[in-house]
Amino acid sequence: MERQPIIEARNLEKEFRIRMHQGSLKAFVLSGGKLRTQLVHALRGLDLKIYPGESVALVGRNGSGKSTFLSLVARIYRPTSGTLEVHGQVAPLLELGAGFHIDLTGRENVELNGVILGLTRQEVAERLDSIVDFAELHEFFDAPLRTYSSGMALRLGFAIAVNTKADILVVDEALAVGDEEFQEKCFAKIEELKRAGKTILFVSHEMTDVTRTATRAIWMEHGKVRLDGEPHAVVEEYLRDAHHETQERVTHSKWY
Amino acid sequence: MREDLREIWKYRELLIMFVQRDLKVRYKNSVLGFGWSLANPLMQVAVLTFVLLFVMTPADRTQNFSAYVFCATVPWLFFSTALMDSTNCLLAYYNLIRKTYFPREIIPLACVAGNLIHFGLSTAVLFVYLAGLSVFGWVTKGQFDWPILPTVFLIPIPMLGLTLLVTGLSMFISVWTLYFEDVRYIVDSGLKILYWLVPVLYFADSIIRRAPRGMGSQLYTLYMLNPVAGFITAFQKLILPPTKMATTNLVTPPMGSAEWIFLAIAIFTSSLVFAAGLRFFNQRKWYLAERG
Repeated sequence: MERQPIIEARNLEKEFRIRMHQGSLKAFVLSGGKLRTQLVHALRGLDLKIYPGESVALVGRNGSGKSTFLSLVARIYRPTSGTLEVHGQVAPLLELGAGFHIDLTGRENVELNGVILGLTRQEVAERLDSIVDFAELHEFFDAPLRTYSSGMALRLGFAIAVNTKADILVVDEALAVGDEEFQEKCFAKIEELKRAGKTILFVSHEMTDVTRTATRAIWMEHGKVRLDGEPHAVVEEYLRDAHHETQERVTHSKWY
Repeated sequence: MREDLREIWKYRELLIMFVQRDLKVRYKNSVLGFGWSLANPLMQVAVLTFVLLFVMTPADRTQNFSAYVFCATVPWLFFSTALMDSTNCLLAYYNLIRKTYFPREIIPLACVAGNLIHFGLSTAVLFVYLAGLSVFGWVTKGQFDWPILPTVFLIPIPMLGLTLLVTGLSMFISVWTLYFEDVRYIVDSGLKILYWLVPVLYFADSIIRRAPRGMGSQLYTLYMLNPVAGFITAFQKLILPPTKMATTNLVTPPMGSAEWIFLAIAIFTSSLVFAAGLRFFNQRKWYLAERG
């Protein structure tokens, strides 16, 4: 019997309409109700199955649709067409920090995010200590988020994401802002979650992280899967291609 | 739609947190805290009463004029403050919208709910004021008039209707401001104009008498088709008794069948606005996070 995938994308497409104007009514009226927008085709028929307990790394160049896919998994966007099934609670950590409100204190943000991620307030209260400990933010915990550095916001975001009951952890390049020591701590935590059978989906441009943490790597290009398989093999192919392309561009470019 | 409602119910704890957060911001960042925001309608009424009674002395002035002004100011402040707040609510939580999932309706709903609680508290202050006024009358004139009518128990009807209207409108406004920054200024100007078109500084009944000959009842009907005017009039007439205007000796009529009909029409209009607002928001909510 085949295992049931925890995330399944079938012919997944996502288009964005990017506004090329400022948000003023004047511009809207002057253009006769038609505003200049540009269509961006971020995902073009993605087919993907991810199984429970897998630790999947997404690699690929900027604009290949990695972050869009993660946002779709986190239910921030809705697919333009195709289907995406996600069976389980997702804890997203997208870009810098989780969804923080800069006027709220660290504590209030933890409460808000905990409830958003499906915990009750009681459960958030029970986990508060371990979250503060993990984030190493003791003296700043009751200061508003706007006083935090990006590293501090990341630490708090990661601490919340790994302290929920979520089945799927989604991490988008976020770890890059942490210092070495904190990154180590995060990877140790991710290993722990892997052992606990959680599914992990992350984007990274750090190939050593990919080969170390992932059990499977997916190379995305132009909104599709280019290569899917064992991390070392995928990374090797990806790097060879990137190197090749750079070579190509250098030899063909003219310097004036 | 049913699915969406179930989703909101599932996240009700988050809704409560947003409301608490809203009230905390409103009351915490000031020395007087809670009292300050309740003092706001009081001060506004004090200034209005002073200007109207001693500077302008309008024909509409009556005994206990301030009570009538206060009575109309409370629902008006709910309406205008909630709409102004709704211009900012999605923007304030935009970071959360872009990074996490929860039913987006919760944000404008929490904004209205916070203002509704405040509306309730202001109404309580209104009753304290009315009681104080009658005690004051008793001490100074030796005659005790209890101003509050027994129909006061019916005020949840206009309050609920006004809430429907405000919720529907804020669903539109909150989304529009996300796309066009100037919506905020348009709402602000609109409210300033509307302020003169609802019976806060005068009695709606004066419309009938002041209108050109023969046009009175038509004009009054037109005026009262505005749901805000209908709700404010009902709120006022359900709480306070008819009163005699000083110069003309005319008595403002009590809540009559015409006013009940206008209240029903206002509730009907508001329900339409409410349904349209929810529908509008529902169609747009998945694109909120994509606002370039």
